[in-house]
Amino acid sequence: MHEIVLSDNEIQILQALAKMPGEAPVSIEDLHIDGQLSYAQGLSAMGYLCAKGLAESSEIGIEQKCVLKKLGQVYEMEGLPEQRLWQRLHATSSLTFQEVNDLLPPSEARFTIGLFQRSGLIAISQGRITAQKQDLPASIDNLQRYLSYVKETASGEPENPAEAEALKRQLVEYKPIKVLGYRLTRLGQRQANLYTKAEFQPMVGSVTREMLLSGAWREKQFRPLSVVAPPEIRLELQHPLPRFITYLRRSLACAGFREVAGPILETEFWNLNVLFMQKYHPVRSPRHLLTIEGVSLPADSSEIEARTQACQERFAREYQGLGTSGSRGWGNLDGFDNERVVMRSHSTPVTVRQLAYAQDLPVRVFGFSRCCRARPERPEFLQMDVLVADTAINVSTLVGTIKHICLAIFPDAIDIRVRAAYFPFAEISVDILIVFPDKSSFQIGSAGLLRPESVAALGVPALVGIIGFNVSRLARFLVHNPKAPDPRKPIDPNSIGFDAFDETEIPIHAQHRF
Amino acid sequence: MPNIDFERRLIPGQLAQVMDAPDFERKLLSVKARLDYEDADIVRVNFLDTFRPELWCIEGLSRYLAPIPGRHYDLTVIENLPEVPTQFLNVPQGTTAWALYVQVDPHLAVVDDGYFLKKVRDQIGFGSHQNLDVSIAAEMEHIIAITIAADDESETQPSLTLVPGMNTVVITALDQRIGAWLLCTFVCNYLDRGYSLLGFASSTNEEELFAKWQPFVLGNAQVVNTFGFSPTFERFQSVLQRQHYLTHYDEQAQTWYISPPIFRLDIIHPVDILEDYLVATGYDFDEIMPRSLASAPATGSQTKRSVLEERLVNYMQAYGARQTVGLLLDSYENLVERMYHDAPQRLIHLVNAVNINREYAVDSSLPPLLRNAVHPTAPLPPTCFYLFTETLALDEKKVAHSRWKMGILLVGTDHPFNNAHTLLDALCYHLRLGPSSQLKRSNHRPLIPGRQMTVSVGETPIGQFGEVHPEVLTRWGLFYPTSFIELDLDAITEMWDGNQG
Repeated sequence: MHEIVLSDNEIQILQALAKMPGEAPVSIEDLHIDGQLSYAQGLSAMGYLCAKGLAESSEIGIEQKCVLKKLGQVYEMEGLPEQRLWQRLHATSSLTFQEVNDLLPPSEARFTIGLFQRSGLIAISQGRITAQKQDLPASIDNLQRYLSYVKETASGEPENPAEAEALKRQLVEYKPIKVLGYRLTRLGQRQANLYTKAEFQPMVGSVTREMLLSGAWREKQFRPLSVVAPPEIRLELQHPLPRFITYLRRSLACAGFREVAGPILETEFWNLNVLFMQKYHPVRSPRHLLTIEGVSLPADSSEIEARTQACQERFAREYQGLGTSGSRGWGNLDGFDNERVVMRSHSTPVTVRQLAYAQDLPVRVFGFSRCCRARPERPEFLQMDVLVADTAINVSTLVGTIKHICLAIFPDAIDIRVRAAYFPFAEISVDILIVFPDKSSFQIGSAGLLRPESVAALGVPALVGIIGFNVSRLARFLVHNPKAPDPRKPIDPNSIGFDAFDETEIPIHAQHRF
Repeated sequence: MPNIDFERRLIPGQLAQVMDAPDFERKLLSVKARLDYEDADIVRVNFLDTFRPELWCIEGLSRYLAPIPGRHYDLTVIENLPEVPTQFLNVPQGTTAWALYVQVDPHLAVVDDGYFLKKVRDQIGFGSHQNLDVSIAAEMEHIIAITIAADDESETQPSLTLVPGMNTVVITALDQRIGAWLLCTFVCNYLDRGYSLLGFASSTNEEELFAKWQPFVLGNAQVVNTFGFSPTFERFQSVLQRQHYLTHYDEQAQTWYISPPIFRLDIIHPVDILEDYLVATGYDFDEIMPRSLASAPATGSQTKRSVLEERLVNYMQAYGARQTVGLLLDSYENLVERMYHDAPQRLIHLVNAVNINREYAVDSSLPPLLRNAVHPTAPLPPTCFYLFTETLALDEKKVAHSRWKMGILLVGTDHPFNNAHTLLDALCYHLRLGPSSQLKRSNHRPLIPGRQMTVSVGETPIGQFGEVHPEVLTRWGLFYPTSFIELDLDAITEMWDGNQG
């Protein structure tokens, strides 16, 4: 008895199973449980009994259930896009397309506007949308009610016209659900007998002060605790975001890259100038870049100061088209302030700085960076930047290296593709897409060759490849959160504290690297 | 990445056919653009490249998707225009002015370029008239007094329409190259519309600026070094010509001479041309044949700081504390008023932050911990949680310092000061910092006087701990006794050997 430790709930389920006549498996609902166990508690306890070899499950039937698909779950929780757009439209009297796109994902925005237009609910004039009627058609409210009904009952309403609409929009589906039954194993029967002979009564988990004062402990049995099992590893104690970063860090280190870090306060030179950003590029605008006026940064060592100075001089020549890279430059240097202090607006300065200080090639580094931008929503975000400087870097080897890195992070992927993109400091610039065995592909990052003017300003005698990832976006494809409405909802660095991510599951291959 | 709306009623037939074709989205990718939205009235295109502004008008997009056969846009177009003697008055210092003289036949359609100008100014002129402006006079002006409109915060779209007959188009720009580019682009657009160009004038030495569109010299070796493969002669030439480049190949010297079209602002280096080839060919993997540089086994590494962090996480996990994450930016209310802050001038203030709840940077790990402690989903006390965060603060000389810190909060535990002290001792022991660490009484306003200490190793402060002041707890609405530990990980990393402990 002492070798197998059971909780009170497990003991109740064990005894309920033992009391069932015959050996046919029974469902949880059919078990006669004496205590006050909920269905979820019963199911959980049964799971533990199976894991401990005391019970076993088998299929006892199949039921046809109507269930919400992923999109249906989202709409059930957040409301149909028609309702969301309609409410906003009535709250603000009219909307621009941009405002609609801010409210809804592009595909939903397109669908909803098209639907409203066809139904004469809205008018579009000079890029603004205005409502033409007071209420939405009853069919939309009916569809919303139908989704809630399906969620609560797991059954459909074939007579309800909303069902045809929901099926057409792939919000619900009928699917066969296996019904499982449970019975005791031989070991489980022996264990149940032990409890019967001992005239089981609920066991005590913790000794309390009240118990000691009253002496009630004399009447109790204490639940034995396992000394054989290893100490419990409580993964939920670690926040999923840093845990995921640890996974990425180890993936990159295993792939042969050295981690680097840097402070979030940067000079404008390292944040933008050294990357050869044009003077009037929007990333320099106060609408984008967070600047701190009237402050300076701590002095660097004289060696670093000298290297920085040399980089600044080379940058000045390149910008005017007088450098060694063969560039015709962007023009004069009026208005540049190399020393202005800014909040790092992207992660590349962290890795590029290392390049400026590197003694030898190849350089293979990566870094995680919190970045800040002057925008109302999510002014803080996390990026991961990988940099490779090597005499053998060119478009072919860059794409090959991207593949090497991405497959280290995504072992389930079978290939990567790239497509044209634009980054002001990279020429060439590409988006990276990973391809899974089912041929589906998703954009997960961006890459390119650092502009030759920037390479010359840094004094590097080779081409430089850079690869950037938004950590939240990576998490979207690697981390599953079964309790979130969308299981692939990204980990948001702005989501603080103790939310649904407590239940986040890091995939098995990722856990092995922890 | 500007979104540009093309009004269907203004789109000419040939381009309209391309837009309605099933491969429109694929074709858009060849100019680094994506279809964002379309309905009966507009087609909205998202242009990824901020420095391809020539595409943000119908003529610009047509030149790639539905080009006029035989039309060239090289430097000779502008070199053949007569330079008209013109006097510019009141040109602001640093600004260059340009004039373009255009004759519009009455039977030709006139187009309002106001939307195009607004998009260009918003994207590459910071939205300011001072940086980029265009005006039109309905006659041929030889003495032009420059007046630049005041900046208008509203979303008003300027009107920029030529009239039938003679027009003088005046361009002013702070950036010379952007001014020259806009002149060239208007020249190309007006030619495509069928207008007659009578000449131009400039307040600066335009030859030097026009030289930016002279041919680039590109050796075969440079092509191979950049690509890692050698494209065939025919494919390379035809792809570039479709992009309106003029090409000439010197077989003996194995060298290309490639002139970019004058409406391209972004071509300043041969690599810009090479990228155009890859974009137009769709990054053809049969040609690129990717190969990794990292095929040989190599060993990477982590920073000392991340190794230290992992060590601390392991310890805190065994202790039963929960890890959380915090924001770097917060509000004045949270960082000054609720923290009972005695030196708000030390905080970093982001004057151009758009969100008033995120306009200051945290100077300690305590505010994000308290913020988390009052979060609706925070675990009920007694509890202990921690986070790692960067902190920013100014010193007396207005020098901004950044420190990486670990903050720990014990909420609702018995004996808060002693508990914090014990945990701190254990952490120092775990990091082998214990024997040499010293405690000194400190005086931080958010902590209770007489119940707070700084921890130093030698002369280097490595952290602090103490009981959070009831005034701070009350202001945060956290009604449990709370103690706080903070470790300066930058200081510890400097003295910590990763193999210790």
